[in-house]
Amino acid sequence: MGYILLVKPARAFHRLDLAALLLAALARTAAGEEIQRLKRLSLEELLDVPITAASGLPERPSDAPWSAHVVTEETIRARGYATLLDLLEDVPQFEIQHKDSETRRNIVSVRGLFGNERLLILYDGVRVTPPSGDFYALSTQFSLRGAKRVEIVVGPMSALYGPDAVSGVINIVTKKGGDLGGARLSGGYGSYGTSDVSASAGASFLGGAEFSATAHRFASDEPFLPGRYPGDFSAAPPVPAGPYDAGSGSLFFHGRLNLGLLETGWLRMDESHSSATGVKPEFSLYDEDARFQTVYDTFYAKHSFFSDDYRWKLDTHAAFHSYEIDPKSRFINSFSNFQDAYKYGYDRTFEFREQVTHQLAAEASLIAGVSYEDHSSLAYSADLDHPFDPGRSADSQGFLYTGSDVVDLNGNPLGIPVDFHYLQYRNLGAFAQLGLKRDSWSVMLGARYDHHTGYGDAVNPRIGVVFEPREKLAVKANYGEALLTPSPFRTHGHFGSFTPTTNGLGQVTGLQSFFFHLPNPGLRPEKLREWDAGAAYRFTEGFWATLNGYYTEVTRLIQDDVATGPGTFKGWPVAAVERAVNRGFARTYGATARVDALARAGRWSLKPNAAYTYSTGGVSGDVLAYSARHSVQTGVEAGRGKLTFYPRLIYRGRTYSAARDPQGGLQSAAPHALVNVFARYSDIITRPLRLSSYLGVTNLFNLRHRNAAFTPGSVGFPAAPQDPIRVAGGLEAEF
Amino acid sequence: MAPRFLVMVILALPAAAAAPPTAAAEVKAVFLYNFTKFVDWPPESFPAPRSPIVIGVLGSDPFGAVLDQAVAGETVNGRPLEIRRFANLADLEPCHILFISASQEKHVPVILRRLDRTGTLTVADMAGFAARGGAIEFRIEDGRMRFEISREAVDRAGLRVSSRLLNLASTVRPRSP
Repeated sequence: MGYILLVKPARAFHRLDLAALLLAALARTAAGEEIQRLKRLSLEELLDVPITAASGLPERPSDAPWSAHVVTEETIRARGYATLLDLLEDVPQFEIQHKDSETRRNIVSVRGLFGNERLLILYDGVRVTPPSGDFYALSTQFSLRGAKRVEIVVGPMSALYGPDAVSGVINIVTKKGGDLGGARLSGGYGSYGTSDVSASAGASFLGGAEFSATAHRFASDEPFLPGRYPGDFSAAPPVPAGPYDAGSGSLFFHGRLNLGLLETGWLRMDESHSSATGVKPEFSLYDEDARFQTVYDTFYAKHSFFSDDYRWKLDTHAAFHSYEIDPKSRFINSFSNFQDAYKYGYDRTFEFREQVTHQLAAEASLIAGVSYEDHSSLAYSADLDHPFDPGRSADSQGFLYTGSDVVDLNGNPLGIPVDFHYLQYRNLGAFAQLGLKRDSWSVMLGARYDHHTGYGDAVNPRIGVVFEPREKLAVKANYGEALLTPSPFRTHGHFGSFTPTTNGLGQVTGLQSFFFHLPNPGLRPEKLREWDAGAAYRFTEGFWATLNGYYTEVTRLIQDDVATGPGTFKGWPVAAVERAVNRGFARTYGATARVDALARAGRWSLKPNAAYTYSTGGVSGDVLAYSARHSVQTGVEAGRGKLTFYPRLIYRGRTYSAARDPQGGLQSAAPHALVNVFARYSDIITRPLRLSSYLGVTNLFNLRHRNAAFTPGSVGFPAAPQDPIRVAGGLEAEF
Repeated sequence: MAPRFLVMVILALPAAAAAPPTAAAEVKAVFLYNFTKFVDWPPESFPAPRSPIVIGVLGSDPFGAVLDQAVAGETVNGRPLEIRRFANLADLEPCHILFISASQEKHVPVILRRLDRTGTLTVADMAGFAARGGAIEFRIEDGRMRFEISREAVDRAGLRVSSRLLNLASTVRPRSP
């Protein structure tokens, strides 16, 4: 503004005119200088120039993030997202309860509905969550090390992706060999014996072949929670226990080969965590042997064919998925009388999909296709006293229900062979989606028909409308339906143990059980209907606001652990029987207000963002579980030269649990606000390799806080204790 | 104490001078200028030995003055560069490079049919442009400008693109068999 002082006093409009002229001239000069600078760059350097619009701020209002989000590699690096779990913390309408489940470890809620199995996760369009809909741990195995971008669509997407795309679809797009064009190594170390190591490499070859591979290993001893929360860990287990061990680990590998329009690949994800997660120490051992582990392999091939005029495209997709609970997985808890209780189960699915995309006209496009899935599953087993041998038939391995291997007073062995439920089923689907665009309107109409050999026919429609009445404003509305078929775990999973009954002389007279979770093959699929609408307004090139609301109804909602009173199993009395049941009707509704901005402060470029989400609803008369009514996610990406810095704050209001305390009251976790910080210093050296460093701190202020409990209060913590401050740093090398 | 110390350490890290982010239009303008150096047009597409290489912009102009600044005073193979702007398809005159603005998105099939085999390198930043038959599609990925080249479209236009440009393209859409 200094130039105004040079103007001699005159009438106001003269000063303003001159100022405007000077401003215009300065702008032209600046632009001209920038153009000359760019012209001096080589093409390679020009490709490396940072672009303003790549900030994650959309170029058009209709691209604004509300029900769809795209996170670029630049954002992933600047914010230090090593895994999908890190990233989802910042996505509005997602909420994660950490360290609260023995099997799932962390549990995600989307738009008020909890359940990892409602979320479909893909790498390059290939699913990596169990096709059977079985539970999975949402942990560190979903690596972002080789990711180019992450696309997140919130809401039911069954019309395109199949019946279990209930709460949303996440697609992690990875780099092809040519995108990598070299290697990247990353090694990090942090508090609590945490190591985080990854390697990516890729190359393109003559003839258009490209190969890339990424491996990522994460391991942590995890914090010593008894020292942090002595009250929760005051009771001792009734059996001698080794040193506290709640370590976790994961391994990710993705290799892909592109030969022109053909791609083949292999994805592998191993995950391991304590099988006592979220449970009081007097009921489950925090022992190095007590681990829950899963192994997931996917082999896939994809091919695209373009017509001569590029008006239509044919995509062929075939994949084989193998999801397996590692036979070494085991619980050592009160349900197994603190004996080793091994688990096993698998799902093997062959999947084939053929899809045609046709540009009918400039304003109309059609996607249509068919899909086929063939599933072969062994449902989650009962507790096993020795590891299952996958190379032998179940019947030949002599498994008996825990506690039943006794002889009664008449010399009769009472041992009850364990039931193993092998399931075979298929799903045939057909789908079509029509996109129409006209002036400021665009409409999407889609529907999918599925025939499931176990659950019959289903149709799931989806409709979306985008209206851009003005250049700066977009209004959207969507309606979608989805169906979640019960997984083999839910229909046939069972666990519990027997104890002998005795007469006054201590002789065994029979068996009884204090608790059994029993199969429920009569479960019906959940049906979800969701409406959402919102608006985005671009106040300036660097300031956006969006508002989005949703209303969701679920009928036949499945709840995994509903006590149904006393009963019998295998002819013996059971004091407390629990089953998964279609509990009834759930309704969630809420809204998110979000602002994104782009600014400069001196030599710092700043990208602040903030989102407030209101979420409420109920499940058959109870308050909504695992979803805070009020939550705030906010952060600022700050960059200056080679330094990027990302502090963020996550506030969660009181969050209720579906689990009840022994008095029948709903458990909850108190409100809390966490501050995390990530900093990266890039290009410490650039030759002979590019070296960068990073430092991440979670729970910066070392806050004691808890997340909503998943395990009922008689066994689980009233609310799951969370980690103290964690610090991790490392180096990245590119060459 | 530990958190405060960490914040101080992070803030104390040295920061080098920053190149400010650049507007996408400026980078695209410089790419358009560079394309003239890496594409060969057939001799018959020039009326005279010193005829200019014409870069056209069809529809609402996203460049403003920056495209003029990018080519001002430049010559390529002894030919001057010239910018022409066309409001709509009816106004269109022969060009060597035509940048089709997003405002013309719904007319793309008609525009491409009109330009078929005319020796025009068509360029746009609309998603799916190369798949629909355009020659070069700009896109922004991870905060950097990228472009896709359709060999099919380049061949149909009768142009030759240097291997250096092809190597820098994020995707090269192959010729049809």
